[in-house]
Amino acid sequence: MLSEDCIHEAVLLYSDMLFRMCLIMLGSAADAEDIVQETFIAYMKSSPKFNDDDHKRAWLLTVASNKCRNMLRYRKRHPSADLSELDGYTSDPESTHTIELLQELPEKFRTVLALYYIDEYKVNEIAAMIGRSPSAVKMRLQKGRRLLKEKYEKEFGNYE
Amino acid sequence: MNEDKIKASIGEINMSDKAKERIINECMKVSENARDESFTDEVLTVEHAKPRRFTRLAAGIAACAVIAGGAGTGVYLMGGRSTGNDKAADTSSPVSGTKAPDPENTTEASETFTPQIPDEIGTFLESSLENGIVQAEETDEKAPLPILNAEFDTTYYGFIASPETAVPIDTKNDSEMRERVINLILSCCKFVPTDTEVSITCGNSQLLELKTDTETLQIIDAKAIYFREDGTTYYDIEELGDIFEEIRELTKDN
Repeated sequence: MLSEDCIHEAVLLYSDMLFRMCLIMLGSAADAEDIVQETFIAYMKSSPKFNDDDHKRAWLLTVASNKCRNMLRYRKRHPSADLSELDGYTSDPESTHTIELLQELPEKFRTVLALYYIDEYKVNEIAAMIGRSPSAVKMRLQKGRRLLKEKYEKEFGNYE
Repeated sequence: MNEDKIKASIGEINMSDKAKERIINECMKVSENARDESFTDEVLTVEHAKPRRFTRLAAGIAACAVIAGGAGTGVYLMGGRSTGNDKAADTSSPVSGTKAPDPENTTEASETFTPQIPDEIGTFLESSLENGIVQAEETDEKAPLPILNAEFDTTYYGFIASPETAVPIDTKNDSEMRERVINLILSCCKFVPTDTEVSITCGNSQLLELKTDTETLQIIDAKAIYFREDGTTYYDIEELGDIFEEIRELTKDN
Protein backbone atom coordinates (compact mmCIF):
# COMPACT_ATOMS: atom_id res chain seq x y z
CA MET A 1 0.00 0.00 0.00
CA LEU A 2 1.34 3.42 -0.94
CA SER A 3 2.01 6.08 1.67
CA GLU A 4 -0.31 9.04 2.13
CA ASP A 5 2.35 11.43 0.86
CA CYS A 6 2.75 9.48 -2.37
CA ILE A 7 -1.00 9.51 -3.02
CA HIS A 8 -1.25 13.19 -2.21
CA GLU A 9 1.53 13.98 -4.64
CA ALA A 10 0.09 11.74 -7.35
CA VAL A 11 -3.38 13.29 -7.06
CA LEU A 12 -1.97 16.80 -7.35
CA LEU A 13 0.21 15.85 -10.31
CA TYR A 14 -2.05 13.62 -12.38
CA SER A 15 -5.68 14.26 -11.43
CA ASP A 16 -6.21 17.06 -13.99
CA MET A 17 -4.82 14.95 -16.81
CA LEU A 18 -6.98 11.96 -15.85
CA PHE A 19 -10.05 14.11 -15.34
CA ARG A 20 -9.70 15.64 -18.82
CA MET A 21 -9.59 12.27 -20.47
CA CYS A 22 -12.44 10.85 -18.39
CA LEU A 23 -14.64 13.90 -18.96
CA ILE A 24 -14.10 13.68 -22.70
CA MET A 25 -14.82 9.97 -22.73
CA LEU A 26 -17.81 10.03 -20.40
CA GLY A 27 -19.31 13.50 -20.80
CA SER A 28 -20.19 13.65 -17.13
CA ALA A 29 -18.11 15.48 -14.55
CA ALA A 30 -19.47 13.39 -11.67
CA ASP A 31 -18.68 10.11 -13.43
CA ALA A 32 -15.27 11.42 -14.46
CA GLU A 33 -14.47 12.29 -10.85
CA ASP A 34 -15.57 8.85 -9.71
CA ILE A 35 -13.35 7.16 -12.26
CA VAL A 36 -10.37 9.33 -11.29
CA GLN A 37 -10.96 8.40 -7.67
CA GLU A 38 -11.20 4.68 -8.50
CA THR A 39 -8.00 4.96 -10.51
CA PHE A 40 -6.08 6.45 -7.61
CA ILE A 41 -7.48 3.85 -5.23
CA ALA A 42 -6.35 1.12 -7.64
CA TYR A 43 -2.95 2.81 -7.80
CA MET A 44 -2.73 2.92 -4.04
CA LYS A 45 -3.80 -0.68 -3.54
CA SER A 46 -1.62 -2.25 -6.21
CA SER A 47 1.42 0.01 -5.58
CA PRO A 48 2.95 -0.83 -8.96
CA LYS A 49 6.64 -0.32 -9.58
CA PHE A 50 7.36 2.16 -12.35
CA ASN A 51 10.48 2.69 -14.38
CA ASP A 52 9.95 6.45 -14.52
CA ASP A 53 7.28 9.16 -14.44
CA ASP A 54 6.21 8.50 -18.02
CA HIS A 55 5.57 4.89 -17.14
CA LYS A 56 3.50 5.94 -14.13
CA ARG A 57 1.49 8.43 -16.18
CA ALA A 58 0.81 5.84 -18.88
CA TRP A 59 -0.29 3.29 -16.26
CA LEU A 60 -2.73 5.73 -14.69
CA LEU A 61 -4.16 6.74 -18.08
CA THR A 62 -4.56 3.13 -19.15
CA VAL A 63 -6.35 2.16 -15.94
CA ALA A 64 -8.60 5.21 -16.16
CA SER A 65 -9.47 4.63 -19.82
CA ASN A 66 -10.29 0.96 -19.12
CA LYS A 67 -12.57 2.02 -16.29
CA CYS A 68 -14.22 4.58 -18.59
CA ARG A 69 -14.83 1.86 -21.18
CA ASN A 70 -16.42 -0.35 -18.57
CA MET A 71 -18.70 2.49 -17.58
CA LEU A 72 -19.61 3.15 -21.21
CA ARG A 73 -20.47 -0.53 -21.63
CA TYR A 74 -22.64 -0.33 -18.54
CA ARG A 75 -24.38 2.78 -19.88
CA LYS A 76 -25.03 1.08 -23.19
CA ARG A 77 -26.98 -1.58 -21.34
CA HIS A 78 -28.59 0.92 -18.97
CA PRO A 79 -29.25 4.09 -20.98
CA SER A 80 -29.95 7.23 -18.97
CA ALA A 81 -30.49 10.94 -19.57
CA ASP A 82 -28.23 13.35 -21.46
CA LEU A 83 -24.88 13.57 -19.72
CA SER A 84 -23.33 16.60 -21.34
CA GLU A 85 -22.26 19.05 -18.65
CA LEU A 86 -19.28 21.14 -19.57
CA ASP A 87 -20.39 24.43 -18.15
CA GLY A 88 -17.83 25.86 -15.81
CA TYR A 89 -14.92 23.86 -17.18
CA THR A 90 -14.06 26.07 -20.12
CA SER A 91 -13.74 29.83 -20.30
CA ASP A 92 -14.93 30.57 -23.83
CA PRO A 93 -17.85 29.18 -25.84
CA GLU A 94 -15.62 28.03 -28.69
CA SER A 95 -13.69 25.69 -26.41
CA THR A 96 -16.93 24.37 -25.02
CA HIS A 97 -18.19 23.65 -28.53
CA THR A 98 -14.95 21.91 -29.49
CA ILE A 99 -15.07 19.63 -26.47
CA GLU A 100 -18.77 18.94 -26.92
CA LEU A 101 -18.09 17.87 -30.49
CA LEU A 102 -15.19 15.74 -29.32
CA GLN A 103 -17.53 14.03 -26.89
CA GLU A 104 -19.95 13.26 -29.68
CA LEU A 105 -17.38 11.16 -31.53
CA PRO A 106 -17.49 7.38 -31.11
CA GLU A 107 -15.57 6.10 -28.08
CA LYS A 108 -12.65 4.65 -30.04
CA PHE A 109 -11.85 8.00 -31.65
CA ARG A 110 -12.42 9.92 -28.43
CA THR A 111 -9.93 7.83 -26.49
CA VAL A 112 -7.19 8.16 -29.06
CA LEU A 113 -7.75 11.89 -29.63
CA ALA A 114 -7.89 12.55 -25.91
CA LEU A 115 -4.59 10.76 -25.31
CA TYR A 116 -3.04 12.47 -28.31
CA TYR A 117 -4.11 15.97 -27.37
CA ILE A 118 -4.19 15.84 -23.59
CA ASP A 119 -0.72 14.59 -23.03
CA GLU A 120 0.74 14.69 -26.50
CA TYR A 121 1.45 11.00 -26.57
CA LYS A 122 3.05 9.60 -29.71
CA VAL A 123 1.21 7.10 -31.89
CA ASN A 124 3.39 4.19 -30.70
CA GLU A 125 2.82 5.08 -27.06
CA ILE A 126 -0.95 5.28 -27.52
CA ALA A 127 -0.88 1.96 -29.37
CA ALA A 128 0.89 0.33 -26.43
CA MET A 129 -1.54 1.87 -23.95
CA ILE A 130 -4.73 0.80 -25.66
CA GLY A 131 -3.43 -2.51 -26.98
CA ARG A 132 -3.79 -1.73 -30.67
CA SER A 133 -1.34 -1.57 -33.53
CA PRO A 134 0.25 1.80 -34.42
CA SER A 135 -1.42 1.71 -37.82
CA ALA A 136 -4.82 1.28 -36.16
CA VAL A 137 -4.09 4.27 -33.91
CA LYS A 138 -3.01 6.35 -36.88
CA MET A 139 -6.21 5.52 -38.68
CA ARG A 140 -8.30 6.38 -35.65
CA LEU A 141 -6.48 9.70 -35.33
CA GLN A 142 -7.00 10.52 -38.98
CA LYS A 143 -10.63 9.56 -38.98
CA GLY A 144 -11.27 11.20 -35.61
CA ARG A 145 -9.72 14.49 -36.70
CA ARG A 146 -11.65 14.44 -39.91
CA LEU A 147 -14.94 13.71 -38.17
CA LEU A 148 -14.27 16.46 -35.65
CA LYS A 149 -13.45 18.94 -38.37
CA GLU A 150 -16.53 18.01 -40.36
CA LYS A 151 -18.75 18.35 -37.31
CA TYR A 152 -17.27 21.72 -36.41
CA GLU A 153 -17.52 23.13 -39.91
CA LYS A 154 -21.06 21.89 -40.25
CA GLU A 155 -22.13 23.68 -37.11
CA PHE A 156 -19.86 26.69 -36.84
CA GLY A 157 -18.23 27.22 -40.25
CA ASN A 158 -14.51 27.22 -40.99
CA TYR A 159 -12.27 26.44 -38.03
CA GLU A 160 -8.90 27.43 -39.53
CA MET B 1 -8.36 21.67 -38.27
CA ASN B 2 -6.46 23.87 -35.90
CA GLU B 3 -4.83 21.40 -33.55
CA ASP B 4 -3.57 24.06 -31.17
CA LYS B 5 -7.14 25.12 -30.57
CA ILE B 6 -8.16 21.57 -29.69
CA LYS B 7 -5.23 21.29 -27.29
CA ALA B 8 -6.04 24.63 -25.74
CA SER B 9 -9.70 23.74 -25.36
CA ILE B 10 -8.91 20.46 -23.66
CA GLY B 11 -6.21 22.10 -21.55
CA GLU B 12 -8.79 24.36 -20.00
CA ILE B 13 -10.48 21.44 -18.29
CA ASN B 14 -9.26 21.08 -14.73
CA MET B 15 -10.53 19.15 -11.79
CA SER B 16 -11.84 21.25 -8.94
CA ASP B 17 -9.73 21.48 -5.77
CA LYS B 18 -12.70 20.22 -3.82
CA ALA B 19 -12.83 17.05 -5.91
CA LYS B 20 -9.09 16.53 -5.51
CA GLU B 21 -9.41 16.91 -1.77
CA ARG B 22 -12.26 14.41 -1.74
CA ILE B 23 -10.21 11.88 -3.68
CA ILE B 24 -7.28 12.25 -1.31
CA ASN B 25 -9.61 11.76 1.66
CA GLU B 26 -11.16 8.65 0.09
CA CYS B 27 -7.70 7.23 -0.55
CA MET B 28 -6.77 7.91 3.07
CA LYS B 29 -9.90 6.08 4.23
CA VAL B 30 -9.05 3.06 2.10
CA SER B 31 -5.52 3.15 3.41
CA GLU B 32 -6.72 3.28 7.03
CA ASN B 33 -9.17 0.45 6.48
CA ALA B 34 -6.45 -1.67 4.93
CA ARG B 35 -4.20 -0.97 7.90
CA ASP B 36 -6.97 -1.94 10.32
CA GLU B 37 -7.59 -5.17 8.44
CA SER B 38 -3.94 -6.13 8.44
CA PHE B 39 -3.83 -5.44 12.19
CA THR B 40 -6.82 -7.74 12.72
CA ASP B 41 -5.14 -10.45 10.67
CA GLU B 42 -2.06 -10.30 12.86
CA VAL B 43 -4.13 -10.56 16.03
CA LEU B 44 -5.97 -13.59 14.66
CA THR B 45 -2.72 -15.22 13.68
CA VAL B 46 -1.40 -14.85 17.20
CA GLU B 47 -4.61 -16.20 18.71
CA HIS B 48 -4.52 -19.30 16.55
CA ALA B 49 -0.84 -19.90 16.88
CA LYS B 50 -1.21 -22.21 19.88
CA PRO B 51 -0.79 -25.77 18.56
CA ARG B 52 -3.56 -28.30 19.11
CA ARG B 53 -1.90 -31.35 17.69
CA PHE B 54 -4.43 -33.97 18.68
CA THR B 55 -7.41 -32.01 17.33
CA ARG B 56 -5.57 -31.36 14.08
CA LEU B 57 -4.54 -34.98 13.72
CA ALA B 58 -8.09 -36.20 14.30
CA ALA B 59 -9.48 -33.65 11.87
CA GLY B 60 -6.86 -34.66 9.30
CA ILE B 61 -7.68 -38.36 9.59
CA ALA B 62 -11.40 -37.64 9.31
CA ALA B 63 -10.85 -35.51 6.21
CA CYS B 64 -8.71 -38.20 4.57
CA ALA B 65 -11.35 -40.82 5.33
CA VAL B 66 -14.07 -38.70 3.75
CA ILE B 67 -11.98 -38.04 0.64
CA ALA B 68 -10.91 -41.68 0.28
CA GLY B 69 -14.47 -42.88 0.81
CA GLY B 70 -15.83 -40.43 -1.72
CA ALA B 71 -13.22 -41.36 -4.31
CA GLY B 72 -13.78 -45.09 -3.76
CA THR B 73 -17.54 -44.75 -4.09
CA GLY B 74 -17.13 -42.64 -7.22
CA VAL B 75 -14.88 -45.20 -8.91
CA TYR B 76 -17.23 -48.03 -7.89
CA LEU B 77 -20.30 -46.25 -9.20
CA MET B 78 -18.66 -45.22 -12.46
CA GLY B 79 -17.67 -48.86 -13.01
CA GLY B 80 -15.50 -48.31 -16.08
CA ARG B 81 -17.62 -45.62 -17.68
CA SER B 82 -15.84 -42.99 -19.69
CA THR B 83 -14.23 -40.13 -17.83
CA GLY B 84 -14.86 -36.43 -18.22
CA ASN B 85 -11.76 -36.17 -20.36
CA ASP B 86 -13.13 -38.70 -22.82
CA LYS B 87 -16.31 -36.72 -23.00
CA ALA B 88 -14.34 -33.54 -23.59
CA ALA B 89 -12.48 -35.19 -26.43
CA ASP B 90 -15.78 -36.18 -28.01
CA THR B 91 -16.90 -32.58 -28.19
CA SER B 92 -13.87 -31.32 -30.06
CA SER B 93 -15.80 -31.47 -33.33
CA PRO B 94 -19.10 -29.89 -32.44
CA VAL B 95 -20.15 -29.32 -36.04
CA SER B 96 -19.70 -32.82 -37.30
CA GLY B 97 -22.78 -33.85 -39.19
CA THR B 98 -24.04 -30.32 -39.55
CA LYS B 99 -24.31 -28.29 -42.70
CA ALA B 100 -21.04 -26.52 -43.41
CA PRO B 101 -21.02 -22.74 -43.81
CA ASP B 102 -21.72 -21.43 -47.26
CA PRO B 103 -18.55 -21.43 -49.38
CA GLU B 104 -19.35 -17.85 -50.31
CA ASN B 105 -18.73 -16.94 -46.73
CA THR B 106 -15.10 -17.96 -46.93
CA THR B 107 -12.69 -15.13 -47.61
CA GLU B 108 -9.07 -14.47 -48.33
CA ALA B 109 -8.37 -14.81 -44.63
CA SER B 110 -9.43 -18.44 -44.65
CA GLU B 111 -7.07 -19.23 -47.50
CA THR B 112 -4.03 -17.68 -45.90
CA PHE B 113 -4.03 -19.48 -42.58
CA THR B 114 -5.49 -22.50 -40.87
CA PRO B 115 -7.50 -21.52 -37.84
CA GLN B 116 -6.33 -22.96 -34.57
CA ILE B 117 -9.17 -23.84 -32.29
CA PRO B 118 -7.91 -25.48 -29.13
CA ASP B 119 -9.93 -28.45 -27.89
CA GLU B 120 -10.77 -26.76 -24.63
CA ILE B 121 -12.58 -23.99 -26.48
CA GLY B 122 -14.71 -26.53 -28.32
CA THR B 123 -15.46 -28.28 -25.05
CA PHE B 124 -16.23 -25.01 -23.35
CA LEU B 125 -18.55 -23.98 -26.14
CA GLU B 126 -20.37 -27.28 -26.01
CA SER B 127 -20.93 -27.11 -22.28
CA SER B 128 -21.89 -23.44 -22.43
CA LEU B 129 -24.37 -24.05 -25.20
CA GLU B 130 -26.30 -26.30 -22.86
CA ASN B 131 -27.29 -23.14 -21.04
CA GLY B 132 -29.36 -21.72 -23.87
CA ILE B 133 -29.18 -18.26 -25.35
CA VAL B 134 -26.17 -17.31 -27.42
CA GLN B 135 -25.27 -14.06 -29.07
CA ALA B 136 -22.29 -12.59 -30.84
CA GLU B 137 -21.06 -9.04 -31.00
CA GLU B 138 -17.85 -7.22 -31.64
CA THR B 139 -16.20 -5.74 -28.59
CA ASP B 140 -13.81 -3.61 -30.52
CA GLU B 141 -15.01 -3.04 -33.96
CA LYS B 142 -11.88 -1.50 -35.44
CA ALA B 143 -9.42 -3.59 -37.38
CA PRO B 144 -6.45 -2.51 -39.45
CA LEU B 145 -6.93 -5.35 -41.92
CA PRO B 146 -9.70 -5.42 -44.48
CA ILE B 147 -12.48 -7.79 -43.57
CA LEU B 148 -15.62 -8.44 -45.50
CA ASN B 149 -19.25 -8.62 -44.57
CA ALA B 150 -19.28 -12.27 -45.53
CA GLU B 151 -16.96 -13.14 -42.70
CA PHE B 152 -19.57 -12.29 -40.16
CA ASP B 153 -22.63 -12.59 -42.34
CA THR B 154 -24.89 -13.47 -39.48
CA THR B 155 -27.98 -13.47 -41.65
CA TYR B 156 -26.71 -16.79 -42.93
CA TYR B 157 -26.85 -18.14 -39.42
CA GLY B 158 -30.31 -16.78 -38.84
CA PHE B 159 -29.43 -13.98 -36.46
CA ILE B 160 -31.42 -11.09 -37.79
CA ALA B 161 -32.57 -9.00 -34.90
CA SER B 162 -32.62 -5.53 -33.51
CA PRO B 163 -33.08 -4.46 -29.90
CA GLU B 164 -36.79 -4.00 -30.59
CA THR B 165 -37.35 -7.35 -32.27
CA ALA B 166 -34.89 -9.44 -30.31
CA VAL B 167 -35.97 -13.00 -29.65
CA PRO B 168 -34.03 -15.23 -27.28
CA ILE B 169 -32.48 -18.15 -29.12
CA ASP B 170 -33.15 -21.52 -27.58
CA THR B 171 -30.06 -23.56 -28.33
CA LYS B 172 -31.02 -26.24 -25.88
CA ASN B 173 -34.29 -27.35 -27.44
CA ASP B 174 -33.98 -25.99 -30.97
CA SER B 175 -31.43 -28.26 -32.66
CA GLU B 176 -31.37 -26.27 -35.89
CA MET B 177 -30.60 -23.08 -34.00
CA ARG B 178 -27.98 -24.92 -32.04
CA GLU B 179 -26.21 -25.91 -35.25
CA ARG B 180 -26.43 -22.36 -36.50
CA VAL B 181 -24.91 -21.07 -33.31
CA ILE B 182 -22.09 -23.56 -33.39
CA ASN B 183 -21.36 -22.70 -37.01
CA LEU B 184 -21.44 -19.02 -36.22
CA ILE B 185 -19.06 -19.41 -33.33
CA LEU B 186 -16.66 -21.54 -35.29
CA SER B 187 -16.77 -19.06 -38.14
CA CYS B 188 -15.96 -16.30 -35.70
CA CYS B 189 -13.04 -18.38 -34.46
CA LYS B 190 -11.92 -19.01 -38.00
CA PHE B 191 -12.22 -15.54 -39.40
CA VAL B 192 -11.42 -13.27 -36.52
CA PRO B 193 -8.82 -11.00 -38.11
CA THR B 194 -5.69 -9.67 -36.53
CA ASP B 195 -6.12 -6.97 -33.94
CA THR B 196 -9.84 -7.54 -33.71
CA GLU B 197 -11.75 -8.66 -30.69
CA VAL B 198 -14.98 -10.54 -31.02
CA SER B 199 -17.20 -11.22 -28.11
CA ILE B 200 -19.64 -14.10 -28.02
CA THR B 201 -22.08 -14.36 -25.17
CA CYS B 202 -24.29 -17.10 -23.90
CA GLY B 203 -27.25 -16.37 -21.66
CA ASN B 204 -26.14 -14.02 -18.97
CA SER B 205 -22.44 -14.54 -19.36
CA GLN B 206 -19.90 -13.64 -21.94
CA LEU B 207 -18.97 -16.86 -23.60
CA LEU B 208 -15.86 -15.97 -25.49
CA GLU B 209 -13.67 -13.06 -26.24
CA LEU B 210 -11.43 -13.87 -29.13
CA LYS B 211 -8.21 -12.14 -29.96
CA THR B 212 -5.63 -13.11 -32.52
CA ASP B 213 -1.91 -12.87 -32.36
CA THR B 214 -0.52 -10.50 -34.98
CA GLU B 215 2.49 -12.72 -35.63
CA THR B 216 1.06 -16.22 -35.72
CA LEU B 217 -2.54 -15.44 -36.59
CA GLN B 218 -3.63 -17.89 -33.92
CA ILE B 219 -6.28 -17.32 -31.34
CA ILE B 220 -4.48 -16.30 -28.20
CA ASP B 221 -7.32 -15.52 -25.91
CA ALA B 222 -10.76 -16.98 -25.46
CA LYS B 223 -12.49 -16.66 -22.17
CA ALA B 224 -15.66 -15.78 -20.33
CA ILE B 225 -15.35 -12.34 -18.83
CA TYR B 226 -18.44 -10.81 -17.36
CA PHE B 227 -22.06 -11.49 -16.64
CA ARG B 228 -24.93 -9.65 -18.17
CA GLU B 229 -27.67 -8.46 -15.93
CA ASP B 230 -30.50 -8.95 -18.37
CA GLY B 231 -31.24 -12.30 -19.91
CA THR B 232 -32.71 -10.86 -23.09
CA THR B 233 -29.63 -10.41 -25.18
CA TYR B 234 -29.68 -9.66 -28.87
CA TYR B 235 -27.53 -9.47 -31.90
CA ASP B 236 -27.66 -6.09 -33.56
CA ILE B 237 -27.07 -6.63 -37.25
CA GLU B 238 -27.48 -2.95 -38.09
CA GLU B 239 -24.69 -1.95 -35.77
CA LEU B 240 -22.39 -4.47 -37.38
CA GLY B 241 -23.24 -3.05 -40.79
CA ASP B 242 -22.04 0.37 -39.68
CA ILE B 243 -18.88 -1.11 -38.30
CA PHE B 244 -17.99 -2.74 -41.58
CA GLU B 245 -18.69 0.46 -43.47
CA GLU B 246 -16.29 2.21 -41.19
CA ILE B 247 -13.61 -0.43 -41.48
CA ARG B 248 -13.82 -0.32 -45.25
CA GLU B 249 -13.49 3.43 -45.21
CA LEU B 250 -10.49 3.35 -42.91
CA THR B 251 -8.81 0.70 -44.98
CA LYS B 252 -9.34 2.82 -48.03
CA ASP B 253 -7.65 5.77 -46.27
CA ASN B 254 -4.66 3.64 -45.44
